[in-house]
Amino acid sequence: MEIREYVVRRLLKLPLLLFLVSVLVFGLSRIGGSPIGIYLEHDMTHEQVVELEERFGLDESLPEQYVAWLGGLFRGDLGFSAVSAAPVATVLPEKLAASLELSVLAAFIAFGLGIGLGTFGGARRDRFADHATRVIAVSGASLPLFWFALLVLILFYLVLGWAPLGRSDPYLYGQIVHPTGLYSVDALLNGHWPAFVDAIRHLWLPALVLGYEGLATITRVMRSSLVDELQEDYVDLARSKGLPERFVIKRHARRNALMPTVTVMGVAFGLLLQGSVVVELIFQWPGLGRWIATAVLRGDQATIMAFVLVAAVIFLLANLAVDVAYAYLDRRVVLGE
Amino acid sequence: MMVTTDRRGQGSGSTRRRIPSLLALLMVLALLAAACVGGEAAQSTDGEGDQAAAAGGDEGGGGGDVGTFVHALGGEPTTGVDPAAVSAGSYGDRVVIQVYEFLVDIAPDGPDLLPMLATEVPTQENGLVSEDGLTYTFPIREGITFHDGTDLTADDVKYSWDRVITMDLPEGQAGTLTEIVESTRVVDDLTFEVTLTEPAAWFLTSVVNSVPAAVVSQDAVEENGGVAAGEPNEFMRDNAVGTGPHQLVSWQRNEQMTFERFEDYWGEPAALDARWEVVVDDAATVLGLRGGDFDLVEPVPQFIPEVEGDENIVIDESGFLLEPLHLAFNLRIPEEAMPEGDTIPPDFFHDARVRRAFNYAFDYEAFIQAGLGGQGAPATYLPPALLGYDPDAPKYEQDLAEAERLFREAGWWDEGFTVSVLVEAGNPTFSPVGLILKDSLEALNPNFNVNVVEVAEAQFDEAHAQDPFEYPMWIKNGDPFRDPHQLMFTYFHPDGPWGQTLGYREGYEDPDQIAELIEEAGRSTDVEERERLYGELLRLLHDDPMWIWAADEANVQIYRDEVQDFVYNPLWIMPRWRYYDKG
Repeated sequence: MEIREYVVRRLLKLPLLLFLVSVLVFGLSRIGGSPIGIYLEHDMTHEQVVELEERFGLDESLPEQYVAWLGGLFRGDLGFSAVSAAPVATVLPEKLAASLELSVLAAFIAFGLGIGLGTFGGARRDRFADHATRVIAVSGASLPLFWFALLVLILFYLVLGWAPLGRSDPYLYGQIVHPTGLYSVDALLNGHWPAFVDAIRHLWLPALVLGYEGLATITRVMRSSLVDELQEDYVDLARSKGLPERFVIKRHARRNALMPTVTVMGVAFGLLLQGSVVVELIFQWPGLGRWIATAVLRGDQATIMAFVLVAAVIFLLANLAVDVAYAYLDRRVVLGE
Repeated sequence: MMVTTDRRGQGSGSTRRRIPSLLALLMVLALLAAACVGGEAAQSTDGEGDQAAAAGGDEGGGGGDVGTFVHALGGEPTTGVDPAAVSAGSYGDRVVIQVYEFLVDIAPDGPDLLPMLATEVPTQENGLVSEDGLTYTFPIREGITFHDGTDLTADDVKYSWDRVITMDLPEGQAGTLTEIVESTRVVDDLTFEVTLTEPAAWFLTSVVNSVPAAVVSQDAVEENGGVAAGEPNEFMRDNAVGTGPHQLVSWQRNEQMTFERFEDYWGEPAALDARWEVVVDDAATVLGLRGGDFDLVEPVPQFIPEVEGDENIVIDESGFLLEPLHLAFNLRIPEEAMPEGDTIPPDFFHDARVRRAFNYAFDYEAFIQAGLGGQGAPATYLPPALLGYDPDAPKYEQDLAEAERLFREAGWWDEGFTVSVLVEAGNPTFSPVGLILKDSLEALNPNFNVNVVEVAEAQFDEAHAQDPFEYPMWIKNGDPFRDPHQLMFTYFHPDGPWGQTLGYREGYEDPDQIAELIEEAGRSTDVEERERLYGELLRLLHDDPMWIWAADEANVQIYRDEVQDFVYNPLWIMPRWRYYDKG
């Protein structure tokens, strides 16, 4: 099957999967009882509770509530976020954009740098460069993220003053229009250099910290699979043809070593979503992760449900991307049946 | 085959791939350069507000020319900023008092009232309160404009009050008005009159100066959805159109709210613009404060050891908050709903000896040290800032011998019991109350077991709205009442909100006596008489306790030393930005 046809088929299956996810999300959210609690104050009377249940449609039967919620999804109504006093659908795009901006850069760092470092170390097996890469890999995988983030912030924010907190200088942020919601991209689209500088100044450190864990995982896998590949016969053949070592690695071994790495990338992307909660909390990054942390701690079901749906879509797309990457890397992989 | 595939890949790929790598390298360099340039810019100025002024002052966007006071808080208004929709003691309350104003307000340095939108504070002496204490007349100040440019008249005041009463939102505080207001009337353009259902000594401090009595622009509301019973107004949820020295400019959810000085403010203008930073993580709060991004933070006792010794940070301790931490006894537990494992009978707390024994067993000192970081003091039932506070009123101290004697007398010492207490998870000051009670009781007698049940806020509030309430005990902090009457009525009156839910009539030795004393003290306009009555109540309630009042939490404020003229009156609910400046 052609890659394009395969992608289209997979995308067509997406709504069905999302429907199943929606049933699951709704069901799970109601296992703990009615979501009314978050809209209540501690001293409300029973009548006041009933009034709020009516306002938020929580007085109806569960199937009716599900249909109403699903209908809302199609109309772009994701319910009312009680932690932010706004419709979820109004806040979500802003938060998603902020998180995407951070995660995409973190993913570039993790994937790009990880593959590079892994190749660098694997090709210099057991030499100093290899040991150095392994230090990075092991530390990235073993340092608890919240602790690492705090240490980094103390150094770069408090001591050196190289990185600020948050996502933007509110004044500069207010100076430009935001067609995409990605601050750095919007700043470029506006041709506003100070805003772009501001965006990058805020972005680089949290992205680096967020990408670090994924970077470590990918470096490790890339290194060991390259070491394995380099012992294969085809590598010997290439070498015996007189190809310089760097061509042997770059053009032969690396490509094959990428296969297991790509599998890990799917997982690493999940790590990014997970890590974004911690990094956003500590760096004051106003994204989805921080918002969801607030919602979970306080029990705001509408917000949590919307987040799970978005996360499911992201995961489904990431998995699709991994499958497509397999096919691209190894033409022997048969997509579909 | 393999090799061929590879070659095909290489042939066209080697140049194709080099370009993206080059681009990537260039981008990285650009980013680094940007980061360095930005870093220098940041270091050369003090705060982000100043930096903004330097970067874009010429574009004249309001607020570029003055500094910004940055206040970091742990959340944001959860029902919006409409005075009709915010809950008592919530973050919404705290925005309302910055952007809206009241007829009278509390002065920075004490319990005295200042005339604000009214030109005088009504008293019987100046003739603005009727002989029978039922009618209050407010002369309205001339020449006040709202943030939308319209002028303030008595119509706006009446409209604001009536609006809250008509909407009567469950999340709002309409009850504060309806409890006592019989009617409102516009006498003329600049005179507003209120008639009460009964004389109330606490009307000015606790009603006129309460959040639902904030004055909103009638035109702004009418142009944006008007008033509907039981329905929140979306415009007013997201926007504020008041007369205050700051106006709300933007609100990015879960991030920040920005406020600018109101240019046409009628009184002394604010010195600085202001920003409310939502900071969810405690570590980030401390970092931001130490790094100079935040000027003032919401004080959490656990921060203090982290910032102590930082010469740029001031820890200001003056007086006590209005929100004593307390643990409630439920005298009306439905038997079928007793938490699993609890062995107490539903009438366990009917016995005053048991309630007193709990009070004697609790380790107050440990709570103040561990739960409040030393920033607190043993409490009486009235916080020190309130009328009627008496430093000599009886307070409970841990007395294990007395607790043992009372438990023996009540017949629980040998048999023992297991009892649950409900507490909101993640609150740095609530859970220690439960844990210390557990520790105190279980150390006293191994037959005593206390289960501390921690649940998310949503579940806690849901449990709280139950009637009857399904836990034997729960922990919370008090609502910030500004007059002892509301506090006494809410927490101790046998027919008050908690008295009914928790069944105080089953427990008080003489419920009618307590009810009468509370009502009499609320009606009286004679301050000394009120003080005497509250003194008597404090003694009666001590011997027949319905709560463990764990401690009065000290009013600790933590701010940067650049902040000048810092002043905070606990009766305000929250610091008022209008008074602060920065050097």
